[in-house]
Amino acid sequence: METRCIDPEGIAAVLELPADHPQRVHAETCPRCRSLVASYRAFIDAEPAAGSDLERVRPLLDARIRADAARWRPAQAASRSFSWRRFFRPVPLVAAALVVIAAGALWMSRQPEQSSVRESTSPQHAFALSPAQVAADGSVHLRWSPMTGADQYQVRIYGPDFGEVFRSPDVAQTSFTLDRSSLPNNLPPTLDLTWRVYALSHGDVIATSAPGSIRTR
Amino acid sequence: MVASSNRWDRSVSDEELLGIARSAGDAEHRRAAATELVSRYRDAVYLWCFRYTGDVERALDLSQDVLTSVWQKLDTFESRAKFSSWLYSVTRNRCIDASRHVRYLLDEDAVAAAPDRAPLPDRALDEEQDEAWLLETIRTELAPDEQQAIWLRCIERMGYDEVTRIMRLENASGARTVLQRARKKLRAALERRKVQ
Repeated sequence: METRCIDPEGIAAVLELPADHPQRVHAETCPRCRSLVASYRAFIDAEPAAGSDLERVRPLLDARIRADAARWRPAQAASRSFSWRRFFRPVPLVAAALVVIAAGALWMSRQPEQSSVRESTSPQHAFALSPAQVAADGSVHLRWSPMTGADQYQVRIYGPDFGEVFRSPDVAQTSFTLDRSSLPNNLPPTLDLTWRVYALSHGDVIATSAPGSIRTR
Repeated sequence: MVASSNRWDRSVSDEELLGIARSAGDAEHRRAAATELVSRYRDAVYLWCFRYTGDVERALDLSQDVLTSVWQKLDTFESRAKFSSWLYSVTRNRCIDASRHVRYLLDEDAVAAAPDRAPLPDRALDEEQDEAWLLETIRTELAPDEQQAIWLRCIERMGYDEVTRIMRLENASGARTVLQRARKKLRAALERRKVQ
């Protein structure tokens, strides 16, 4: 079984793995990885240190954040801009806008005033993964519970070093079968992979599952 | 405080905020979500930079650089990693890049406390060694506790008390003793290398 030292970017994902997962065990025993984990925890805990002058520094950092926010130009989501330009022309666009405004006004009149984020019932790990089933032919059957509000799902699979090795097409059903041949050829025949499901609504990620394990044969 | 002026609280996860910031929705809504996300880590980024540099002004410069780079990378962030560990990685890399040299053999605190009696031979040794060789030597010549002490002290720049606590060392001199032992072994390895 191959485990490698963790990449700092992947620490949080490793710490979410079951305690007996080989990558987690490695992170708890390897001197370098243990040091990285301790360093990451120090980052998250953010304990004010003597002499750090945090109270004086905070307004300066806030000012920078406000300035950066004002300059920030959010990129258009690719799928949305593509469909708008391709399928809408000026006249239908006006008609469509009127329909959307009318529908929005009707919807607002029937809803209590709430942030769409606050009323979300989709905390990050709101849907569960079933244990991965590895068939004799090497294919892997993955299943998960439905996520409220999701219209599609995407499965992503990560290698021992948490680099992404596979990304499924968006699927409407709550299962996916991974053919062994879909994985890169340079992976060893037996290895531990991690998988995660992304719940999508109109192409946007609205929740991600907790990571699950796959042991291939 | 920026975070308190926004409409979200901690029940909204980082990943949800990131999803909103990168969605196709209203630009101001997206901007507010991104502002909340960055503001959540304001103290963490600064304090980590301060711990690394030990200097308020340098830490302020570095943390401002990091926070600005977050805005620049929000649209391209690969969400295979959690936002917190991605930001930790960006912060850590920025600090390491900004430091002139990682010193494995020379204790920066000891030099700062007594500059006139700085162990100059160790400084020269540190600077003339290629880091790849030193890292390999640390891995192969040092015991696991010595490796961890070197990592925590020299790479992560943690204080002696913090290293002692993390390693759960019970003797009074804690991390200092382990580090002295580790450095002694490294010097011996260097001597052997010079002879060869």
